Amino acid sequence: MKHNRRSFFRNPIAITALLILVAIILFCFIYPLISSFEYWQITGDRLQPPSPEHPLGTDKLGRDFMTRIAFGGRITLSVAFFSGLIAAVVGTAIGILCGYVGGSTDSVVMRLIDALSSVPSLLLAIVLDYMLGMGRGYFLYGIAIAGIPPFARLVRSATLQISGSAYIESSRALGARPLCVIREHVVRNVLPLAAIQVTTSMADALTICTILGYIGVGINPPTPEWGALFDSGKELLRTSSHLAIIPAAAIILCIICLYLLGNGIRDSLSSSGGDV
Amino acid sequence: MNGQDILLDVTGLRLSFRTPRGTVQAVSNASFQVLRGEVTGIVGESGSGKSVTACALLGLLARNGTVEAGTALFDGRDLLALGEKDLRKLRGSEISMIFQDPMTALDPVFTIGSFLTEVLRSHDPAVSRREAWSRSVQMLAGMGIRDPEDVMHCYPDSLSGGMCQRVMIAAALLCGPKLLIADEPTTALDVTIQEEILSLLQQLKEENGMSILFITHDFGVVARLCDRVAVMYGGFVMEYGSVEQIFYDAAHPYTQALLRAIPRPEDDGAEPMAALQGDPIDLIHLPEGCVFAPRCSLCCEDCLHIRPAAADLGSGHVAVCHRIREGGAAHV
Amino acid sequence: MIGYFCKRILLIIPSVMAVILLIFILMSFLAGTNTARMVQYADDPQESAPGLSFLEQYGKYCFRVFVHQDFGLNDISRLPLSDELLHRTGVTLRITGISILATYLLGVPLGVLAACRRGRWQDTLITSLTTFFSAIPSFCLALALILFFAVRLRWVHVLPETPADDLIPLSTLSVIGAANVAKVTRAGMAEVLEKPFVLSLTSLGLSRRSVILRHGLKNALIPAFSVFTTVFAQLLCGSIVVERFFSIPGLGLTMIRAISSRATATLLGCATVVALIMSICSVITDLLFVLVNPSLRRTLSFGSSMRFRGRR
Repeated sequence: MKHNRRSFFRNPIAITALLILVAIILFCFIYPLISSFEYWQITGDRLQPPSPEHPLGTDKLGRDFMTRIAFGGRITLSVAFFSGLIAAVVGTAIGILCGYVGGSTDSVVMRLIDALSSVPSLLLAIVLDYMLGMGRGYFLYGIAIAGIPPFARLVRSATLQISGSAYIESSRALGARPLCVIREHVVRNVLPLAAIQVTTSMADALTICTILGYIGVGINPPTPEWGALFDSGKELLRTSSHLAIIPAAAIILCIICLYLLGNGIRDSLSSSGGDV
Repeated sequence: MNGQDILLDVTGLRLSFRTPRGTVQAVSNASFQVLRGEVTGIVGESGSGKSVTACALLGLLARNGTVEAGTALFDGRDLLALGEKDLRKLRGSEISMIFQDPMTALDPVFTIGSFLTEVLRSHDPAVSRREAWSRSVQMLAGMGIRDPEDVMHCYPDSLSGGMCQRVMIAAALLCGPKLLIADEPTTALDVTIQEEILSLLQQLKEENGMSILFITHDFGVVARLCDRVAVMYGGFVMEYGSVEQIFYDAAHPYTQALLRAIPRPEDDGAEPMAALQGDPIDLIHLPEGCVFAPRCSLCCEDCLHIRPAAADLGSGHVAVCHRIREGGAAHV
Repeated sequence: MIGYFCKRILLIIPSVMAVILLIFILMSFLAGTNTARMVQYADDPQESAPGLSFLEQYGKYCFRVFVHQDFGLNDISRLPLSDELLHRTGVTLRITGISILATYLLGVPLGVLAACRRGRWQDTLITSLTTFFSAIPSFCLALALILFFAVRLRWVHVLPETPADDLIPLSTLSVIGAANVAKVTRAGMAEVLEKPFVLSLTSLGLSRRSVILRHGLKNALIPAFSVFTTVFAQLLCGSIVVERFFSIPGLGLTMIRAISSRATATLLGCATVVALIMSICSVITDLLFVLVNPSLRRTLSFGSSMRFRGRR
């Protein structure tokens, strides 16, 4: 599977999605630095509508909402990014191991992976967060662990396909060391597939992270997180609906962009562009 | 040849497929006939266009396929000009088709009985379930199946390949079609079962006067069953004639090469196998001359640049080659 | 086949017991759990009496639950948990039960349509919608539905007061569930439509509608039903969010509160109930599977059809 960079950059939808994501990320990381408020800073005015001083108004405790959204975005997007990345790396490693080594290692590990994937990821994240200590950010690992199975399966089947193919056999016959074979052929062929799955996993991680924030598991207040911000904003739906709508809209936007990005990557990989 | 005897007359069939890599010209020119009560065989290697020719007749081409030219007169009607609705009425009742792999040709979640009664009742809704059932049982018995009642209650995966193919033939014959198109029906079966199916088809031809269009890559089967043969290569019918003409008087270099390539028991193995030289044809980029020219031992300058026309060799024997003079076969 | 299902139903109890054991083990490792007395009962002796060992507690719990339906006392209110759990489970089951029906009624036709119109605008539309709805968090969808139907159109109330108001929580769950079912059905149906028997059925003169709706659908329902348990599990998780959003007193909410307040008995009770529900779900999945997949029927029933194996 060839990686066709040029066709990716010609894909307007994927490029737009990427740009939007980058813009959001930049906003979340830069705005709190330039804002005149801190995310925890309580100013006198509660529930103020948007004004020049507070571009998105203030929340029910009088904190500047724009700063809180930006900081919350930092948290949510970081969790999504890192748990997606960890799931990708660990899952890919497991997949390559199982696919290449095979045998009983493969059976045992894949059974574990199947057991892992049969538990809904939300529940798994909650349980792991509970066990590892709540509020200290360990739920990131919980989300990452829940995200491992799709990678493991995908990479394993791709590895199996490649391992069985003729050019690997001939490499081995020529005396190449297993690790070299893996690095040269397997990784190069499998990485593009994993790349598509990464965006999906990050989107799922984003969803779980915000749900955890919404139901009150995960980050402790006053640290903002988009799901938690939504939760506190929901009570005020009638009066200051923007406090709930903006976090929700931000979440939806990021998820859509991640999916469009993934589609773009996938399209740039299929060399002939689709089925007959 | 009496015009009344011709059941199916295909002339100048041309079809192609749109693919991401380009337009595949699967059939460029196919002409042949099936006479009443006779078996016409279409022989060729993979990619010669024989299967898609059959599919085109019943309007079963994939979505990306188009029939570009040609006529296929069946009982006076041009099959290629018919709409889907008319074609559907024809399928199963006047022209039936059986396919290569019988095990996958049956829906695994329905019983044989359910399947056969559905086929019958879809053509004639007035038939009652009971009558459809008994007619199906009769047909299965007629196919040489012991205990047809039991088989009616079976699911396809408990039947063997040979049994499945008999069921498919039964389904194809349920509504009494005039023409049976058989697309390599024995390729996926064991040799002994192949023989049984071929005997069955022969019986149908001799006792029931069934006309069959038989597609195969096996000359042995052709010799056994067929009355007429069309030899296809690269989407062209290279030679067409009676089975005697083809076997004993082959005029086209391709046919001759194929016949030479058949291993015979009396060969002592000392000589190398007479395989065809050259590479298979690229159907997206057809050569401007004869498609067989690159592999032909008789290839001349004309062959490379001009498409040969059909040469009539008399008594219905036609060959498409530059190197044939009227009334005589080309010599190697 | 009846024998098989009786066996499956009997196996529910051991599997639930295994889950209870797992939760017991998990809880005993956590700080803040009174490992000597994890669950309190109405007929417990005095406080100063020595606590039971781990296994004794486990055994007592299982016995009480399965024989007496006694889940012990709520850690905080000291009221019997059974009534509370029963009531809340009923609420959650009502919502998820109706949702699963709506999920399949909505998802399967959409999946079939998308597969039949593969590559055309219906397919692109349905695929984008299903991807979108299965990805977003349920509270986002709930918000959108609320804003549109309750705030703008004023058809229902924001918080459920009348039965009609249940429509929005149900819709939230159903839409997300249907998106997943539609995805699976579309993939299954697309695969079925490529199968050789579709061509052979068409060549025999069956109408396209009959081939798709009778043959295609039955085959595509196999993967659609095989995910029944997974979809139900997702609905249960979704109901956690939905119950919190609409302040519905159901099982999900109870579980979350129990987690944050370390209410051992409540947590155990909820986990037991959920394990029971999931086991029943798994049996239902098997039942549905057998309904559409005849080869399973034969494997499970050691009846007359066995003699046809290996017929010539």
